Amino acid sequence: MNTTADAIIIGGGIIGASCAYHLSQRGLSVHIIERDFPASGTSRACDGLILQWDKLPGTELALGLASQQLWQELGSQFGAEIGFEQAGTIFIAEQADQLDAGSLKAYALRDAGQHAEVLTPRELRELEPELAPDLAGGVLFPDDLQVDPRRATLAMLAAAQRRGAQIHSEEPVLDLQRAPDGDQAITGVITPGGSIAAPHVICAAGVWSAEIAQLAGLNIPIQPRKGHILVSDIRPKKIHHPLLEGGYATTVQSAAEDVQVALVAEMTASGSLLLGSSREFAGFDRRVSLAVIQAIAQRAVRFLPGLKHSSVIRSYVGLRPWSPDHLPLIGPTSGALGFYLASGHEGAGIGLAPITGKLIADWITGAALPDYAHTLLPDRFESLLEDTTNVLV
Amino acid sequence: MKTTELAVIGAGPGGLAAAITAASAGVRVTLIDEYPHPGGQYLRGAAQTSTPPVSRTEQRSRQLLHQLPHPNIEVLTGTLVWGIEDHTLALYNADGVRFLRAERIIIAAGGRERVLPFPGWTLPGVMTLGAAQILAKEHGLLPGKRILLAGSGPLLLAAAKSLLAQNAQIIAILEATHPIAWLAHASAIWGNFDRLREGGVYANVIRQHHIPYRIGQTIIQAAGEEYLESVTAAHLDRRGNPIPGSEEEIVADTLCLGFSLIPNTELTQLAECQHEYNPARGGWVPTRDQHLQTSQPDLYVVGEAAGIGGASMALLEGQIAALAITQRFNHIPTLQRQLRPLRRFGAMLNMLFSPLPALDALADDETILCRCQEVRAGEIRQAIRDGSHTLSSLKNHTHTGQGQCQGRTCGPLLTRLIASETDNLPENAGQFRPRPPLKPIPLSALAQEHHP
Amino acid sequence: MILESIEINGQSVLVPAGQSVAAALFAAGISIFRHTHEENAPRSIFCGMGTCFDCLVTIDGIPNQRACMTLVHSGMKIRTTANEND
Repeated sequence: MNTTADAIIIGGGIIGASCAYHLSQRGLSVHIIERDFPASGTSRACDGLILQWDKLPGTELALGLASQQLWQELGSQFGAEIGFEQAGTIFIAEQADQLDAGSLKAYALRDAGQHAEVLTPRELRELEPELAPDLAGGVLFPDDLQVDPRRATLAMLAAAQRRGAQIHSEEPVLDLQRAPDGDQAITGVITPGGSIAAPHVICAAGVWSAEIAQLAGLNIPIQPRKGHILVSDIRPKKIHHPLLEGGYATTVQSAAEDVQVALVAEMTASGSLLLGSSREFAGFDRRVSLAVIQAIAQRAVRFLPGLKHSSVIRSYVGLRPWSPDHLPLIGPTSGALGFYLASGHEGAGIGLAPITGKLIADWITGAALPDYAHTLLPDRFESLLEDTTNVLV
Repeated sequence: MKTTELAVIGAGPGGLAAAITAASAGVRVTLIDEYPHPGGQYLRGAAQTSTPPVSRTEQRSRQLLHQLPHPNIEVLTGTLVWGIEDHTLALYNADGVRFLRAERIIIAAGGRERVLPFPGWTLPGVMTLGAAQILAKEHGLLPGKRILLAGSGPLLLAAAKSLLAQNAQIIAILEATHPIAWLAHASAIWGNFDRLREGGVYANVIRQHHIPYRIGQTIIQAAGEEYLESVTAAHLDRRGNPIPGSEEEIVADTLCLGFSLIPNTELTQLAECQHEYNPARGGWVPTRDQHLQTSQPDLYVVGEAAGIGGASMALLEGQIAALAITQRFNHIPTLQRQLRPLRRFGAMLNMLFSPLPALDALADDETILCRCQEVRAGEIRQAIRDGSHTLSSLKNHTHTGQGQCQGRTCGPLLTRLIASETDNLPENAGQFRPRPPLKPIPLSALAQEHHP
Repeated sequence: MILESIEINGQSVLVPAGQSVAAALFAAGISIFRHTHEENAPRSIFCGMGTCFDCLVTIDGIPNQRACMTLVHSGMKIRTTANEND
């Protein structure tokens, strides 16, 4: 295979799929290079919740809201095919101080045009009768969305393919091609199948982005942040909205070394429950931890006592691509011309996939960019151009 | 957390041999089995039976069982090992969840039956040979009134004997292996006198009851509304294809099936032991050194869980591992010498009775392949054609392997399907990756650790 | 032989002590244990040894219990699928 394209996307997860979707929509020829199979990485090991209230006001929230708008459009376009639902989410406050924190989030989001309703304990239990009776209340965020991440990835890839995009599965990137002289720009990729030349090469490789970026001489600070999900057996419908305990937002923003556990409970289409969540730095270790299983189970039974007789039938680990300032790295870099990053979304990859794809397409086609786009550039990390040895934790 | 010197997981012949050999040397042993009674599948019903043993192996196994209770062995029956992290075992029983740290571990988790799918195989009334045997041996019950046995391997005969002991009406026994294959392996069949004698016992029983034993035939379809009502038998050619025109409809309410056994490797996989694909041992097995230690230090595997070879092999292997653990190496070479012909015989059986790839075509596109998630063969074949060439990829693109059995039933079937559709080696399809809990555990138990 | 009194779908039955729930159901003439979630297809004993998860019934109010791996105890209440929510 020796071919040329307008753009090459490294990584066939939801971020890569979104980049492919947007680029092909604008008429660019796109090749996606995926070393396993589409949605085989973090995109198949996560829940599909698209939240806004876990985002800090500023760039993070602006990004989230812009992406929410795009998800609404994708929802209209694909609908049931991607399991799209405006399910809303409920922030559960265990104690009064958490309810205060939740209320502040409600106000902040209302300021940004989102709906939010603070709930008394009685109102909370009216919405979710399965919840424990001793909670301080909650906040309903009815604009929050839910998708099936894997199906959404495949749908966007399929849409891109219909516009001529090509997907290469089981094809790892061996190296990047560079211009022989001058600016040493990145000009393509080399895989076992041959080489593809393109003026724009986008790294959407999730937790493996640091590895790929090294090929471009870049030292990007993306690290895996391990999470667990437990799957319960199928029960008659128990909860009506995805439920997250108040402490969840803290764990999202935290960079603590020890494992952080906060309940996230979400129904699947088949009627089983997904129960998370955990966050810890454990390198690329994907083993399911017995202690974390217990910790998530404890939180689940505390908030949903009716789950006592439900069983956990399986579990899995996902690795979130974490970035030190909790914002993704999106856009070009002066360290390697022709090379773009679209990674570092931590736990917001699903939610921010559409806006990421759009921003990448904007950068590449020279379209107008929103103000916050510049705060997401990879160059904001001074260490980017440092020696690339010892990059991986 | 409680600790033990040696944890033996599985109380069948292999586990019993290991536990008692170690306990006799003074080791404090914890013997764990998921079923409420020890003995494994092999000794189900042994405690209450008056039937004489069919072989020396069965006799020795029963003797071992009768050595329980043993002062050095803590027996935990009705206890599931649902996780393993280094040398910590996660346990679950009626008291709840608890953890046990074991200095050394011997896994004797046994094997499970393989049933090849065909239209109607999910109907009530269609079950494994072992399921029927357990009903008869352990509970003195018959699974039905008009019973047919089909599949391949020695378990067909053993199950028939157990059923006949309860006066079952067995219409016929269908052995799928073609007569030509028997001839090819004839010389190796003489390798094991005890097994041959056991086979002779079965042959006698079947002859006495005038049960037709038809070689080169299998069931290609089962029919019924809510329950099995009839089956279709057919002759198979040398490649395992049903011969057109040879179909015969038989009225039956029970079909007992089994195409050899598959080693239970979930625990060794979860413990991150190295595995290899060895058809002569029944498929994926953990690699072991001469003392049956896996690639993980102080973790041993004995018996069917490391390769299908029968209870006689498990008895010897259980002893070897326990001797190695107690540093009594001088006894081991004798046992290893006894093992060699058994390994050869076991390998021969596995190869002889290995179902031919053609049998995978019995499942039409409408046939359910993943029983838990009700995924049909057509969807899976399409996914394979679309590029899913591993179990992991199939799990991603369909819902196979995501149900309660975590791929135990469908995994071996999918491996065969991928291999034949892609014209590739079975091992290239990989394995399902087990994660804890290995079987479902109630959230209430997980949320609250039991401290004995 | 010691007999124990259990309930199957609301009916009192005497079964031999130590019998598996699966055997007790078969002996009582109940050979369909549940219907599947997607296709409402009938299921019963399949592997008989706790690996296939077909033989699931509700025991003492707790659903999805493997009948083949559970032994009866005095007073046990067993419900097969059609009668799970009574």
